[in-house]
Amino acid sequence: MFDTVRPVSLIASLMPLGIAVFVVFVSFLPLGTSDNFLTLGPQFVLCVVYYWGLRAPHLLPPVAVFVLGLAIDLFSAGPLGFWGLVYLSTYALGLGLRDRLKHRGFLLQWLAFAGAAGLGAGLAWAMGSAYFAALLPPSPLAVSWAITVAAYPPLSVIFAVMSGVKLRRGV
Amino acid sequence: MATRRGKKRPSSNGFIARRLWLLGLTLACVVLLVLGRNATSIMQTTRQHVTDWSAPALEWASGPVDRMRRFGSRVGSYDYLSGEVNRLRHENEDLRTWKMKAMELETRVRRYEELLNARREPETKFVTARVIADARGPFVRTVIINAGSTHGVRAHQAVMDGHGFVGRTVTAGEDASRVLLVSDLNSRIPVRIEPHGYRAILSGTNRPEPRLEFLPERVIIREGDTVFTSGDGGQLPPGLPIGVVATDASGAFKVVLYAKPTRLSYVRVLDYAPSLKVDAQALTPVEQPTTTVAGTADDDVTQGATTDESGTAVPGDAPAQQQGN
Repeated sequence: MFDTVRPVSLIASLMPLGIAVFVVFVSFLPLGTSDNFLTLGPQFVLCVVYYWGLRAPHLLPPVAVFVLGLAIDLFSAGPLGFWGLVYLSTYALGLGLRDRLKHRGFLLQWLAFAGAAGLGAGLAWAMGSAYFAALLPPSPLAVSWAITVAAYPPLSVIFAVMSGVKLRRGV
Repeated sequence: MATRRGKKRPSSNGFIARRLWLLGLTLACVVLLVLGRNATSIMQTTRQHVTDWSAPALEWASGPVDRMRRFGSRVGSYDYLSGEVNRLRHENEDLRTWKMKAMELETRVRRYEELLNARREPETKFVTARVIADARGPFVRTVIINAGSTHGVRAHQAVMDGHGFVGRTVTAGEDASRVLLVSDLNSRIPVRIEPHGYRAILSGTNRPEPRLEFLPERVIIREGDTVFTSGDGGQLPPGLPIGVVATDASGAFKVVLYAKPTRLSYVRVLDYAPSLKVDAQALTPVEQPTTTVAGTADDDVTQGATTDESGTAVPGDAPAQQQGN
């Protein structure tokens, strides 16, 4: 799955970005989530960013990651550049681990994601605390991190199925 | 880094370019973060434009979500519906008694106001709006509503749900506005704590329960005391119910909100516009007579204090707390 196929159509190549935009859009709908789950929107985007950074970075270039972060910042009224920085860091981690995780099993990839997401959440908390000059409660980020890590396997299956169906055709 | 067909992988082609992009964009993020702290008005305008631009899509998408939520809550409540009916029947009887008492008190207060020639609070109009985006993140607590300047919504207006005070509008576009929830880290609301009438500032902490700050020394506050908006600063109407006092593990006072910020569906935006004109003539210092007259202690206390037309002391009063409303 690591760059084994190239998209043959524009739609297929836009699939990862489409998924990411969809996740961003859905995360801002008033679903009535509790305060502990409200950070899931940005964290699910972390799954998308890491997955494509690891698997096929040419389908989700850094500019797209930056734009996704900017969109989250604009919608959530957070400081501009905040989520972009977190996503780009996670994306860079995924990119850096590509060669090492290429021939490893999914369990190791998942563990690596747990670490990358943890670093992303930690970075977000540290930057948020520094930006607002206050020690922010870490519990919402910790809860959403745990849920995001748990959600990564089913999400990666969905991404794989989508990419498999759309990307392999015509190769 | 070659594929089975002997071609170069796409990742190796853009290896350096991708890393350069990463570096450049990371720097761009840092620049944006730094600029954002200083050029807040530009950022707010940009944000409001994006909100306005995306409002139709969000409104369209949030409609089915809202209907599903209401359907879900109806189905969920079906099990204990009969019990609820009985409970509500009893509550209704109690409320009728309270309504009678409230009406009686309202009449009495009005009569006293007339007797004292007290100035009445301006009538508060409201606009009902639907929450179309739950724009909350780990560090911000805001929602977007589908009412803007065309509907009479302005920045800094109070927002209520069916239970109590939710927050205030921070920006208003043409068809959508952003509401800063009372739990947001940047929220500061001047409040009054009853029954003793202590003034304080309700500060958001990004936790569900905001904290009470700037309380006077030696206050007697108990858990369960009710917290209302004080109206200090003149931007929010006084007397809006916010919640009840509770204490956290460290003994600090926090407020359990009446409103349900996580289940917001429809909200009311209150249009409160009190006259804040102060008679400048009344504030000019009065020339003191040159002859010294022995005065009483009471004279000393009231010296320098003037009264407005309703008889309220102006400069002698404690200064109103205007905390970033």
